[in-house]
Amino acid sequence: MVSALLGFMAVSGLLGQRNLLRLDVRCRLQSEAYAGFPAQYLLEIVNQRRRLPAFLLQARIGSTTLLFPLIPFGESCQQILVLTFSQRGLQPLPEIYLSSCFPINFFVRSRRVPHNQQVLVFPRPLKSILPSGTGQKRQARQEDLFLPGIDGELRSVDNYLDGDPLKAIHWKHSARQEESYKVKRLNRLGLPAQLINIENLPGAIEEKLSRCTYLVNRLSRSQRAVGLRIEQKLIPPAVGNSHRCRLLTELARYGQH
Amino acid sequence: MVSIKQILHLLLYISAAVSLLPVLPFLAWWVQLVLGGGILVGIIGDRGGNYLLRQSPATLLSSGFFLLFLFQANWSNLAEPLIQFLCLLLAVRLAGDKSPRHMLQLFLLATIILAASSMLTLDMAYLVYLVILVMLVTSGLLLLSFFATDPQIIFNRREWRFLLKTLAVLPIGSLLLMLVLFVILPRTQTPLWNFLNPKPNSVIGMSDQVSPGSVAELSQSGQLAFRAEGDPLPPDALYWRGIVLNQLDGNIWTRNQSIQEEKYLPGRSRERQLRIFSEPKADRYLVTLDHPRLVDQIRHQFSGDGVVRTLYNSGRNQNYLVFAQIDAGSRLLGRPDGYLQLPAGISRRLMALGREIGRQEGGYQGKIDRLEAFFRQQQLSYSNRQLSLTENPAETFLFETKRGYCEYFASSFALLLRIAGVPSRLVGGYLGGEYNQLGGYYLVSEDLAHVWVEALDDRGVWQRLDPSRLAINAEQDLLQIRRRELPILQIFADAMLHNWNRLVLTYDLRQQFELVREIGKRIREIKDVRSLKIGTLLWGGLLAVPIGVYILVRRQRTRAARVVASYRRRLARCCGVVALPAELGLFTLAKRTGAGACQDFARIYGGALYRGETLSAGDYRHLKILIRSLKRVRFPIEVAKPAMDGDNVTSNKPS
Repeated sequence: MVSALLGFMAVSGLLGQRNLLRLDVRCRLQSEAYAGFPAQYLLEIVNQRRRLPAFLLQARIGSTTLLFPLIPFGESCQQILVLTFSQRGLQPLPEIYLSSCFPINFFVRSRRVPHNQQVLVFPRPLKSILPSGTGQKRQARQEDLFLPGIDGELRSVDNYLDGDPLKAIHWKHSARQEESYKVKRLNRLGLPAQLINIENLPGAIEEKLSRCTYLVNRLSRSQRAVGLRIEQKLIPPAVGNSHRCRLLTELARYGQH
Repeated sequence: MVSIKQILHLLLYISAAVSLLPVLPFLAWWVQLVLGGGILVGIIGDRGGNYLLRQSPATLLSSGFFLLFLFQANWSNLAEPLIQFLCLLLAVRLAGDKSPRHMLQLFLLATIILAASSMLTLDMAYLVYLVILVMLVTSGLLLLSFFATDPQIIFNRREWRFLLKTLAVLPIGSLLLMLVLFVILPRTQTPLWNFLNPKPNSVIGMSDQVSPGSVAELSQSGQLAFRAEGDPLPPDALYWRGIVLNQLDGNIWTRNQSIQEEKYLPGRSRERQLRIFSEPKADRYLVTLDHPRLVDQIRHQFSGDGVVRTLYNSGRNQNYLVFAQIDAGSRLLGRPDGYLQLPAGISRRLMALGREIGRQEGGYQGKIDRLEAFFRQQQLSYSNRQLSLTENPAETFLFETKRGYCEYFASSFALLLRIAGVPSRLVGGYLGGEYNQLGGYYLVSEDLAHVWVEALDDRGVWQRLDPSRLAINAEQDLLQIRRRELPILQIFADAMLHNWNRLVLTYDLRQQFELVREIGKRIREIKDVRSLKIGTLLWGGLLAVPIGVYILVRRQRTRAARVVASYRRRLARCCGVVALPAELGLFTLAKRTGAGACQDFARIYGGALYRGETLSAGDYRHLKILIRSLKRVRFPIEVAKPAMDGDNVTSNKPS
């Protein structure tokens, strides 16, 4: 009986120890993180083992614990977790601990997952209005934005490509050409570009950054080109998500370079 | 889908039943009733989710049972009340709510009860129960860890398969390690918890005193006395020596511990070495083959008259080595006066007979011969049934009833010898035994207990005399039943039981040391013998490395080949043929059958083959699933026809 119990303890100990080995833990941001606001992250555990599935894994990150009951060998499992950072800028991801009570619920084995992941946390958005004197006089006026569109001035005549709308075909010009149809390329009509000077926003620096974050997001959502003047640096107005992210990154890392 | 909770409940009840099976015959009827009730109430509660026995009454009931245990238990009887108490606790737990904590308690209780049952019985069935319980409890504890972490957890079929595979590792690994640990775990010469084991107190068979006339009938228990492992012996030499009774007190022969020195006289036959495996018994006398020279592997005290006693009575099975010669003897050193001692109150008739024999010429041997002649003349018969109870058993036996068993024969013979002036004593032990050819040992039961006489000859050497052989029916009623052969099945069953005793019950520290010594000896032998062949070993090792690598590479190949072979076998079966023609490649088969599974198989396998890659574990899994999917599919026999021109014949050789 003693031999059986010791044998059982040895095998269960070995299984428990192996259960936490060769596991890759990855944490990816699912949405943008703003200081003070909860953001979704995707926690993925990859079981790199060749034969042994991973059982009853509990991943603790910050104050959140996620349970992964079973991850087959060579496969991965993902779960969403929500984290909130209070400070803007590059913030280290909290420690990740993997623990498991497998195979016997007598002891809980645990190990820290080493990582050097950082999260870029944008400033907390603070509702604001555009400061006076920071743009054109008539901000409501629409302008040609020199970007491809369908409602602006003619910008070029080009060969027909698959997917071009029929109404864009320049029939007159096409009639003169034999090789292919010609289409009219137009500019986009939109609100004028906006350059935000952070110094013109009210409040202390953190408040200025928060307000600016709000404005950048709002202007970008309305397809308006937005630029930024910050710390002797001028970022010319532009549209697009990558540009918006660039502006938010500048705001997030203000004073941390 | 069956939930983990339901499986856990099932495991709990089976574990409880397995742990109770060995102790059930020892439990009082009311405890059995409580157990049955507990299980019934528990099952009803599990089904309805409403338990009759709540937490507080359960605690109260358990406390009451503990008080009862305290009331019943004492140092001489601890095991049974303890087990009874554990069973009652189990009943209470089974009847109540089964939270993860309670389930854990139930599994532990079942384990403890089985462990405690070894105090009552330790036969071979215990191993079976232990193996089953280890499997049940380990599986249960593993599932319990899931249940305790998340009671709502549900697995799909694939996840169950993963879980069951791992589930198998735990009990199988535990059992294999159990075997290893059993051999190497350091153990004491006597069990630490031995005081809990009830000591055997019944006296059956060989006794430390002989009092003929005290019982009317000898019971035939058939209980095993010991097994003696060794070569077969001549049937007439099967005298197993136990105790020498040298003092006559009234009608009772007893042993006086002040023994005179004797000198061992070796015989001419070869010395026999026997390993005796004796059953637990109340006294400390060790049985040996008559006449013993040496006893080994047990702490003992060897008396001059060839009686061996252990230094302590462990109350357990014992095993020890005996070195003996069947024709050896011992010479009495000193005066034989002690062996002529007579009690007061011997009947006149016996005194007259003894004195008359004593007056015969021819020394000790002449008197012995005369007495033997007298016994033959009396037409005494051997019997152990319907004997008269009397205060003068020797006289009644010799002159009136003329019936008796070995004690009558031996005690009256030795008494008359002493009256006649021949130093004599009784020897208690066993006569005969059934030889088990399969196990290579003698099986001696308590029924074969026997008493004979030792008398001094004219040289001062003790000679064995068996007056029971002088009975007119000795051959039939004494000797034949001691030479019977066992049925084949019984031989097999007993050999199994013997190995259980030998390898498990009597495995102790001494045997562990022997094992270590033996291994050390073997290693030294290897070192000595191979000292000249170290080069050979090195070369062998160097050769073994590439062979091992080759085998590993080959294993990869054979796995792929195995899958293809299995696929072709399945396809052949689908076509109703024994085997497919070898030249039919995978793509040809896929084209001919037109089945999606075959096309997928060709794509996966052929793709890997053409890319020069090995198949991954996932590929193998997929291929096996495809093969399985063809189980009930039927193809026309044309599929299996030999290849024709235009067929895409692809090699099946694995990459």
